[in-house]
Amino acid sequence: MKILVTVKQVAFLDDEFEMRDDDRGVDEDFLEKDLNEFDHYSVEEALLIKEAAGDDAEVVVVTVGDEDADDALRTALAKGADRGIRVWDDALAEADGVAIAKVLAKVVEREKPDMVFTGAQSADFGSAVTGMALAGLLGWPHAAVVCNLEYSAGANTATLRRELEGGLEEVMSVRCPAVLSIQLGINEPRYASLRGIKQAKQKPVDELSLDDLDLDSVGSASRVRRMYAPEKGQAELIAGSAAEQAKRLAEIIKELRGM
Amino acid sequence: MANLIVIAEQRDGEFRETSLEAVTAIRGIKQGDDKLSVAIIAADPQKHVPALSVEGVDEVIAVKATDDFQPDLLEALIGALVKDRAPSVVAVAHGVDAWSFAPTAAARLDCGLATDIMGLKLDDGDLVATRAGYAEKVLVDIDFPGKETVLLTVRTNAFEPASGSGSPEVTEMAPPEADVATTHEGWKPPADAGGIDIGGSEFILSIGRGVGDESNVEQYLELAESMGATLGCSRPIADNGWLPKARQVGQSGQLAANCKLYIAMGVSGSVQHQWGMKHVENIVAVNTDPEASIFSIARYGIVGDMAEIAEELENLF
Amino acid sequence: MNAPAAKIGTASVTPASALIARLVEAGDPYAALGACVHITDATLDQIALATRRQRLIVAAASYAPPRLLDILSQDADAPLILRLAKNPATPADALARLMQGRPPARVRRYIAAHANAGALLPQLSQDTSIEVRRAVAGNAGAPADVIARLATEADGPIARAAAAAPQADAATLEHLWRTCDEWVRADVVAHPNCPPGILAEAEAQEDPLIRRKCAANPAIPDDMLMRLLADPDEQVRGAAVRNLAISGDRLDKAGDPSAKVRRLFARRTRLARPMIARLAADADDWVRRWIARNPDVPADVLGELAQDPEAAVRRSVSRNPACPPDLLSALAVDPQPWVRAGVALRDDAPDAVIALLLDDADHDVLGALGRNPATPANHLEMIARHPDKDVRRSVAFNPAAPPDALGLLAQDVYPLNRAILAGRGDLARALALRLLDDPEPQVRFAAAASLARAAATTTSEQQ
Repeated sequence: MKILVTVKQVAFLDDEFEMRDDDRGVDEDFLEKDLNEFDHYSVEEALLIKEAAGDDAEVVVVTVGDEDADDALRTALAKGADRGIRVWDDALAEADGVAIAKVLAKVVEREKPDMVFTGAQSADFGSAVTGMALAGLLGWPHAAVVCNLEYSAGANTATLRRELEGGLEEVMSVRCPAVLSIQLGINEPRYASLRGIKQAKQKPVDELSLDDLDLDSVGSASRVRRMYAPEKGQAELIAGSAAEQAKRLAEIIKELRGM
Repeated sequence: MANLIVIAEQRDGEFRETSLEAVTAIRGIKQGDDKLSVAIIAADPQKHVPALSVEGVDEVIAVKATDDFQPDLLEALIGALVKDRAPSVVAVAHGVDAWSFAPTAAARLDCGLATDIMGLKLDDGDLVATRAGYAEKVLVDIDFPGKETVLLTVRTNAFEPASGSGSPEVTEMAPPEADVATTHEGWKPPADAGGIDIGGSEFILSIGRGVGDESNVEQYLELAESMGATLGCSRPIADNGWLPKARQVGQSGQLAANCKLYIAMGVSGSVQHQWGMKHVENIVAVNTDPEASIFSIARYGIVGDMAEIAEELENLF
Repeated sequence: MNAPAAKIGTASVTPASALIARLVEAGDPYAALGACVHITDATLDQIALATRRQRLIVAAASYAPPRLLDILSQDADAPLILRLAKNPATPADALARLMQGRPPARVRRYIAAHANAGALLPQLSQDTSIEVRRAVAGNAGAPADVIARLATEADGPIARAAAAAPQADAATLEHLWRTCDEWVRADVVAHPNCPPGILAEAEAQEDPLIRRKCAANPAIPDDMLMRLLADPDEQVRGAAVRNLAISGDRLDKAGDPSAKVRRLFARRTRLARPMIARLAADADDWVRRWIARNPDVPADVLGELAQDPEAAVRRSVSRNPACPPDLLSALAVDPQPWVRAGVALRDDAPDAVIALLLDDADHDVLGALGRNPATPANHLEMIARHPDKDVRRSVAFNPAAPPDALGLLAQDVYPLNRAILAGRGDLARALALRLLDDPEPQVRFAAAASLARAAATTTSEQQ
């Protein structure tokens, strides 16, 4: 029994930042990187299933990214994932979610997992594309924004709840193997123990190129033409004396609350 | 002539107005003899024709099937429309529903794809969509070189809902065959309220370190009650034992899942706190430090002393 | 005093030089930065500022040692200058240096608002940019003459800032009163330097906002405040009740028809006995919640309040510093966990009460015991092993936590728990050394800072 979990090293922007010279991205010096928040939940969900299944189950984490992305894999390995796969090629530097999904589809073909978990979206661009695009390319059953899951290793179906618009939660069953995109809050992700962090350094990580996956090139569904800062900051500042500010705030509250 | 298609949605037979915002987005790039069609799947699609008879819509494609949300069917519909009509654009409202089928369809059909777009234009014949990134700190213009068809999901509230009257022709279409791999089993019963319910509250007043000391906390409980808000707090307040853990918003605390208005007073906005509330549509930040990171996610900001603002607010509720 | 760096390998190996050698070998920028807070050493500076990313992080960090910010200001490009201008820890000399580089208006505005900009404010108050001048007017350190000059500009934001400026003088306030709108006038009459003549004028104004602000003035004459206490407007009366210029024992309006005003009475100290009794029996829950917190309430009245049907009132009693031990014992078995948690937070609770609460399963109760110095050491160790990470963390805040309990927290899986442990002022050397290898940068920073502080103290004592 094997669960494949796709993870991503995402970047957060400093409050003040500068663009790259080509105006198609942010200068790397202004980025802080970390494992995508949603991926903590998808990794946890896989680990819970593995632990319930006993030692036969394997959790494999895969990422598409350059050397920086190793940290994301090591974070997941420290929590208890068994091994990692990192795919990279300079040709992927401008890959979008669909292109990443094409690469991941090849990894799925190679690994033949019983289940694939992805984060519902990534914290940097929030496109919510990669996971469900992967399902489309594989032709696998899928469900997005899963907030509860009942699945025992190797079962033919899983019962789950998915979030729909308006805060509704639908209970449904899905044929397996399936691709599920995992929502925040589905579980309480663990923190790696200090021992786990040490052990993660010894766990195997396969580094694969596009050649290894029999891919010549990978086409994206979109291209970044230009990236730029919005003209004004997001927050509308309420100015004036404290009494004036409070009066305006009370108006906003009453309007939004229909009071 | 280009075919432009919007997939409209309904939920349990009720038309979703966000579909009309997608119509506006697409209407903005409609040229000359382009044809704008809106497709809808429903148990009784004819019922929704009046809502879709807005200016600029040339055709309503009525697909009689089910009122249930069935992503596999929506995906199959997009597939059939792309095959039959070779549209240049297919658009749908962005949201967790669209997450289920739009990327799946785009990947299978090898279409262009941009999600959560807030702007759309033609630049010298090239379609250019705009979306935000890095927690809204940047905007990105996206194009789709070499793509015959582009699939777009359109952000809520970025475009006005389409209005003005129109008289589209109505085309009936049989539901496409879909490999439905999922079975609807029911709905989750609504969470029971009662007690402190950060997750269920629509209006939260939250306090952070800026509150100073324990004796001041009571004042904010009182203010929250008079405003009709639930009082929340950041981690240090709960760690001090000044408010119960059940009021703590953020990682290791509660998620303000249903909140529509969140007023953060004296909360600096650590990553842990933001985890529980950054998704809220209307965030108001009150802080003496204009550089507090809470301002970067707020819709409204007040640079000022939370105690003064609170005292003034007490007079207004 | 910062200890000078000793040369490594010489006969005089001080604790500081030993630490420096270790940090240099590790090459970790966060640990080096932490040590820089207490030790001056050029090699550590270099490690802390090694990459451009690292320099950008340090320039924006409010925890950065001012000395490093000063170094960064000496050769700063535009992004660094902006960060330094915004960083509250940037010292005055560095700000002056930034100004010498003729920075853009946005940067000047941040400097004008900076708490360490004092000496630069006269110059900035004549800046060509109105935004910069507004920022000067809003700087609490702006002297009276600067405020006076700015107040002559007919600018709404400047007028608002000037009326609220701590050092605005009577003449400036008078000018603002004569020339500005009601919002500015309201702040003028609330200002401690407001001339008595204007207060008299304000008291007679029809606008309740003006009278309310007048009633809030800490320098208001006694008789005027007494009159405003009887104002027909509840907000004006409320502001007068809040005003500490009048002693609580002279307040006798506990029968105020407005519950909002009575709540404010219940928050005042030095209230007369009969008044306390009446407020404690008030029909409004919030009046009783407030009076139950009031340290002047005598034990017998607290006893009554401890049996209040409203749990929040009982919680208030549990947090009242004047709450006697027997009442704490009674509240320790309250059906509401939040009331018991209030008792568990008290370091004056009797031993038997603490012992009783240690069997409680509620996380708020256990968290309160975890930070309570009166909790026995062996129990703190148990709390530090609790399955709930938030309960465990409470021990990190406990000044009386025993070394064994803290040792457990040093291995806690939750990074925040280790970070709070590492930030303790009394962190033991052995623990600090262990935390120096922590995976979290924040923990290593705090551990290195702790070791450096100890080393700097020892070194300077030896010399």
